[in-house]
Amino acid sequence: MGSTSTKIKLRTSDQKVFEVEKAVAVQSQTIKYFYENGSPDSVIHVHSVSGDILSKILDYCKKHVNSAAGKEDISPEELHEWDANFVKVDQNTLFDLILAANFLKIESLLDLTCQTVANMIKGKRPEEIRTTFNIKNDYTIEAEEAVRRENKWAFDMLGV
Amino acid sequence: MATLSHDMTLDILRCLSVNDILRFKCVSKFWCSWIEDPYFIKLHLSYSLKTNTNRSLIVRYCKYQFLSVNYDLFETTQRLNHPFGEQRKTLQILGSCNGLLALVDDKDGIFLWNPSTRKSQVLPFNEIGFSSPSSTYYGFGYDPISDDYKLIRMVQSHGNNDEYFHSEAKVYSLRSNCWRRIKDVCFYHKFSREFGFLANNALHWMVFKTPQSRN
Repeated sequence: MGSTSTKIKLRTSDQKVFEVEKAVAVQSQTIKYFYENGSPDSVIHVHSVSGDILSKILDYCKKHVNSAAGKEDISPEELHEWDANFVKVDQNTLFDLILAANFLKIESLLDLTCQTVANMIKGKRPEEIRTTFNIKNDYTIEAEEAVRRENKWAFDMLGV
Repeated sequence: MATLSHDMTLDILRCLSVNDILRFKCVSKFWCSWIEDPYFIKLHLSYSLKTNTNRSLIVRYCKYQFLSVNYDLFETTQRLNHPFGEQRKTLQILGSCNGLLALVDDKDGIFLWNPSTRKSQVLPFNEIGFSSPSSTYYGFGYDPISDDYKLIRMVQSHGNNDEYFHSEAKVYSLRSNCWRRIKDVCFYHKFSREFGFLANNALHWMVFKTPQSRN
C-alpha cells in the first residue's frame, strides 16, 4: 500500500471504526458527499449500518474498484460470478444489504441485491409474498377478489 | 425478520415483470397503492429501459389480432385480447413509445393501448377543418419537457396541380386529454401511411416543399 493513498474513517451503528482507502469508500455517494463537504480528517458516521454489513459492503466495493482499475485480473464473467456468490446470504442479511446500499447510495449494489430478491419472488402468488415478507393482508375478501378479477390474466399466466 | 420499507419494496418491485407486479397488487392495500402510484410507474419504466428488460414485440396479424412476443422469454409469447373485447375491428398501429401503442380503427377512432397492463384509453373525437379529399399523417411520442404523451395528426389536401393546398395540424395531449391546433405544416407529406419516427424525443417525417414554401 502506497503511503500516498488517502484513507477515510467510518464509524458504524455498533461503534466499530473502519479505515478505508478513499477510492473504495467513495463508491458510496453518501460517503463521497460527506467526505467532500466535511473536514478531511473527521470520522464519517454511517449510523444505520452495522460493522458486519459494512465489512461485507467494503469487500464488494474493493472488488469492483480493483477490477475497474485493472489491479485485479478478473473477467466480467468472473466478476458476475463473484457478485452471484456475494448475495448467497440469508434473507435478513440480504435485506440489511439493501437498506445499507440504499443509505450509502451504491447504485450497482442496490441493483444487485434488489434483483436477487426479485428473482426470489417472481412467479409467486400473493399469498406466498405475504408469508415471505410477513405482510398482513388488509383487504376484505370482496376487495381482494375485485383486484384479482381485474388482473385475472396475470394469474392465468402462472399456469397452475 | 427484517421488514420491507416502502423504498425497499419499490426498489425490488421495479426489477419485476409487469405480470408479477399486477398480481402483487393483491398482496395488500399498501402494495396496491404503491404499485399504482405514477412515481413507481416511472421508476419501473426507467429501470426497464436502463436494463433492457420487459421488452416486447407487438405483432399484428389477421387484421385485428395481436401477439406479444417477450424478448426475455420467447416461450411466453401470447395472444393478446383485442383491446375492445372481441370486436372484429381492423386496427392500424400509428406509433409506439415506452410500451404504449397508438392505434386507429377503420372508423378513424383513435386510442392508446398499453398491452402490458391491457389498459386502453379512447381519444376524444376531433373533426377535420375542411371537407375536400384529404390524407392523414400521424406521429406518437413522449415529450420529456411537459412529461406527457402526445399524438400529432396532420391532415392535408391538395389538388392534382397544386391549385389548392389545405393543411391542418393538431396535437393531442394525454395529460389534458384534449386536442389543440398548432401551426400548420407548410410541406407536403407524399407517402401514404407514413408515420412519424421518434428519435431524440422528437418526431420526424420525410416531407416535400410546396409551391408556397419554395418562395
